[in-house]
Amino acid sequence: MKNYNIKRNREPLTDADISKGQNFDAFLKAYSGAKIPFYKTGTFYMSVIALGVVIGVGAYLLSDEKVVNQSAYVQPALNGIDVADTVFKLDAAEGGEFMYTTGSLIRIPEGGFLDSAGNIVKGNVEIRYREFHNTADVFLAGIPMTYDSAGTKYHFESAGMLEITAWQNGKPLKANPDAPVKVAMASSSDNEKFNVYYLDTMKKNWDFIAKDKAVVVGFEKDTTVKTDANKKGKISSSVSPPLEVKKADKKKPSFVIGFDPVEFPELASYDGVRFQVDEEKTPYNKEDRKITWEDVSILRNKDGATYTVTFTHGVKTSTYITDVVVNAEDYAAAKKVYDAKYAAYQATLKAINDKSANDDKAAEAKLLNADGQRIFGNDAAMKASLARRSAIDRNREKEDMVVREFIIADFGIWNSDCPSSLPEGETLFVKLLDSRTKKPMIVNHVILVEKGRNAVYTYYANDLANFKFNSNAENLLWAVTQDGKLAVCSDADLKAIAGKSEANLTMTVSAEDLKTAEQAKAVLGIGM
Amino acid sequence: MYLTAKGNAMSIETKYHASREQITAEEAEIDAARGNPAKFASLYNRYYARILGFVYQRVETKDDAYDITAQTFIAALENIGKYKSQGVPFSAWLFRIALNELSRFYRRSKVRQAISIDDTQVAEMLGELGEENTAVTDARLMSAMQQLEPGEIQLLEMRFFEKRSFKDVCDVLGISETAAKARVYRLLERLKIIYTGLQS
Repeated sequence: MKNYNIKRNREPLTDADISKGQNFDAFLKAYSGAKIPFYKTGTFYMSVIALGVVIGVGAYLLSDEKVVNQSAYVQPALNGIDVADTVFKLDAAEGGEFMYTTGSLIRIPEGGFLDSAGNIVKGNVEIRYREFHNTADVFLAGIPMTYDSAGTKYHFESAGMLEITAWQNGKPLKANPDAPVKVAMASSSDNEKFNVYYLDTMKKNWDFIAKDKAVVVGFEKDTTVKTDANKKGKISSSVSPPLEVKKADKKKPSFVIGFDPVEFPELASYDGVRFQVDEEKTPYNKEDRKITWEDVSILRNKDGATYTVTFTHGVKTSTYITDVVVNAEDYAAAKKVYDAKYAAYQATLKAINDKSANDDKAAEAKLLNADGQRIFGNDAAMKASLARRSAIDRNREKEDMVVREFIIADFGIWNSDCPSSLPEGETLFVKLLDSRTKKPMIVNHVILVEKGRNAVYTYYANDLANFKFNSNAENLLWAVTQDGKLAVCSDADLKAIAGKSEANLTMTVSAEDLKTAEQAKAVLGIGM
Repeated sequence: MYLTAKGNAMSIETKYHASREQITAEEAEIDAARGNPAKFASLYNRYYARILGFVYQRVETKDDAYDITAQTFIAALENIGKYKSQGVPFSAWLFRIALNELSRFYRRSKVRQAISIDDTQVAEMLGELGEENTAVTDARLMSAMQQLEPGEIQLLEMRFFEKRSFKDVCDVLGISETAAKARVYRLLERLKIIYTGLQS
């Protein structure tokens, strides 16, 4: 197929060739002869501008709210709550490869960083990395999800988003375009409708980079694999490292809390478990001991070693990050249990790794066939890593992993997204009320979330005169009040106003003093 | 004649750069042309040869190049009221208009887009791909280029044949430098994949 007419070694234009065409008088004559439609004339534009100014001023005067957002373009919705970074450290001269908790692979080549002067960086570098996979993550991190394309505003539906930055001695580094960082980001969607975008925080818009394509990394589910995976599945339940309990420090406050051994089997292995407050992370309030708490919840944190304990009494809550400890008299027995579990864990890990090594070649060959035309398919090191990753997943009896490829030309926020319009539905004029005061609530914007679609729809205050939602879907509405509280509207609240032309919508303002992203997500009702 | 090129070091043509002083000086000329088309002469005469050369590299005949260049300057003068510098040189704005006019020309005339390339550029491209410069690799590169998308050819021409800086490429295409870098990197990777596929 020949798409182009390739001309080799053409004679360049001569001065005579240029002079033949360059004639300003003739050009001006041709220009004057060209009829310019009225809509292209300056008069027309001045009229439009004047009209625009009148409409703009009118709209401003009529508006109830004149909220001017002069803050950073990406700003967490709630003070002190954000999607946490994971920090990886490496020697810039050597590069490295890291696996994020979601299974994403981050590969940093040698010399992948430049300093502000454009020199290749040497020495230790810190990579800060995080991902956003659901609407609650996006909302809490405050990432704008509207996209302006040629003057038309779209709302993004996401197949996953990541932020990656690099630092040395507290200073940000630039990406080296000749040796870019590559990320194979685990994605929950294998849909082909997504594109790659980069958030340009200076232009305050997303840059379209390329058409995205989901890459399925894994094995076909044939009987042999299933049988093998099932066998491995029995081992996989114990593949995570055992919980290591510490000896209690009598000077630090701790609690004894009853827990469900089925829900927390790692705690059930030990006798005399206590939850000791990590006062560096959550200072202990001595007044709390005077309260008779009505309820308590325990949540194992992502680090696998600490637990978030939340006490509740009526509307009052108190949350602590805790370590798991046992008293001195129980410690020797606990240590013995831990050592035995750790030895079993190491043996299991070795068995899995041995099996994975054998599977690597087959996995890599499969990836080659399936992925010959992919960008990472041309990158032997990345390909081998993905193959290893798929072998690990197979042993854990996970679904095939879908990854999306990012070549990090600059550090910042990268997104696999698909622009979408606001949901279809009846238009209504909605006025938001604050559940605490029953008075109109002033917000900068609200976020409409349609469950089942990983999209956030942003309605700015003035857009609420034309509010729409799909009443056949399950919806949520989120906002942050001017005093920094989380406000939510349930699907039932929204369904109650469906079909009306105007309605008051009471947003329930959370009374909780939210301290962690997990707590906020519990209120939002998504992303736990 | 076949040349050999190795490594990825790429020289950048400075003729596409405009200094801050040049941009500021031109703003006065642009302002004057807004009020009086006859004042457009200095800008027209300064950039005519460059735009004509740019267009000629992308079409088959000189006559087509003259026509498209004339259309480019007419469109520029018609729209000069909308031009806002904001750090983007007037020349980049003209090149952007020229690209639009070229797209219209390809659509309207239904002719295949022309790509002008010489032996030195072929050798440099093969060097970028880490290949020796032989008759076989040369032919393979030509075949691989046939499979690229028009947007990719546009980048290839500007970045590798015309040796424009990333800043200049992004000014002309109206994209950020990040997007330009990412697209160029993807283009090279894709060209390598297509090239390797042809090899096997």
